[in-house]
Amino acid sequence: MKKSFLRSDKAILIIPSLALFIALIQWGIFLTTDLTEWKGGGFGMYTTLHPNTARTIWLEYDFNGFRVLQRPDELQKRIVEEKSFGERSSDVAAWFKNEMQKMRYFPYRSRLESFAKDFKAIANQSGQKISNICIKVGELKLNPKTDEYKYEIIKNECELVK
Amino acid sequence: MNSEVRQHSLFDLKDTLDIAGKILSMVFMITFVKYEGISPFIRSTGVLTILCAYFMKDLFKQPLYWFSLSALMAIHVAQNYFASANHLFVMVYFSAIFGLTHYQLENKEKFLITSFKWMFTVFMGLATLHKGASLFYWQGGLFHDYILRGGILKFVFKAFIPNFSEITASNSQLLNDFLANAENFGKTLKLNNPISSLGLIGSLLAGSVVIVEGILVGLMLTKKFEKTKHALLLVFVISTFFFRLENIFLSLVSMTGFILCPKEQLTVRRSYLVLIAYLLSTSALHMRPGFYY
Repeated sequence: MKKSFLRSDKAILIIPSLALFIALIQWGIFLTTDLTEWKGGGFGMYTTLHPNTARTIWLEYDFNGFRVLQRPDELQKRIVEEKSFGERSSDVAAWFKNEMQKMRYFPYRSRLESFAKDFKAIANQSGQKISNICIKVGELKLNPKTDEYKYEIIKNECELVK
Repeated sequence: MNSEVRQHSLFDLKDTLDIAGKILSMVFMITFVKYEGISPFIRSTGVLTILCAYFMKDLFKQPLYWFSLSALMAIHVAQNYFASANHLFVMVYFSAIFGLTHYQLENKEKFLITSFKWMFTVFMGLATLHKGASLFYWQGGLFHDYILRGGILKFVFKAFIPNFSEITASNSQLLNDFLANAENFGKTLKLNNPISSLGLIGSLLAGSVVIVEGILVGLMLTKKFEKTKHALLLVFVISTFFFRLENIFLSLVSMTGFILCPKEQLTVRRSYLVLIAYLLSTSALHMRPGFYY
């Protein structure tokens, strides 16, 4: 009787091939976009500084006649302190912080647009008028020969919500 | 005497499938319990599934059990594809291999060992290729950064450089302040170098990691040098432990070593198990041995 494919010797290669396939896709994506080498299942850890310490993300917007520029921690703190979103402020603030922190691993345009749209919609619901949202992603680059760190902007996207 | 000890031990050291299955289940359990980034539905379902397996031990031999764990983690990884840590991908792959292994009618252990041999080649080989292709890594950039901020080997350096901790603590603060100010975009920051030969140390450490990883990949593909390759893998895991807090990933690497280790090498197998037990317990108890930031 003929064995099914999953019970044949060839089945040994299914999972290693899948892992290799996903890793090669990740390699292609990080070479051509701003995806960090540390994420995406490609095993490129340690070849750059860890994004948790080297990448920052900033939300910039107009509010009450002021231009505000905040990192995730600052945004969370402000929402909680001002109770900007009523009783659920701490949940909303934690969600925004978490989403922003995750976005810095792979800050592509449509994802930033989606976040900005959610941010504006939730703010509008609570009666806050927010406009002109921009998102910046900064990255620290170390030159081992000179011991110098350079703080570069790798993404600066505006007009995220039409 | 030996047979008496064997009769009273909790498991048979030569039963690779049974022991490795329980280790992987434990890794899943710790991850589901600890990792708040995974959705409550996945975490609770996963914990319940694993608890059932510990009470109904035949479940460990069921392909459906392993495919369920693999699917649960795959859902999380798919939903958080660009934010998930690499060891979560590895857990999806490893549990799927266990599922396929238990689906076989015969030669299950051979299937498991060969699959893990190729998995080790893929993940360790890719890690080596990435490092080998990175100029920043060859220049010792990562180690440079860790040492400048007191992240690694601080106990060694403190013994020779009395003010090492003050310099690195000040460097860390300077860097945090630098990052916290958007006006610093485009600017540079030079930190105080606590060691004169930092560049050389960084490059030496980076070079030795690439060489050891490359040798390990090559050795695992052969059937020779069994003792040497497993001794090297143990040294690799233990030394990596002192540099990065990656205990779950290291326990998965050690489990791979255990699976690939010949049955007659009981001492090496025991060493892997002791190492895995230590790595998993520090992870479960949130213990940070203090080598890191």
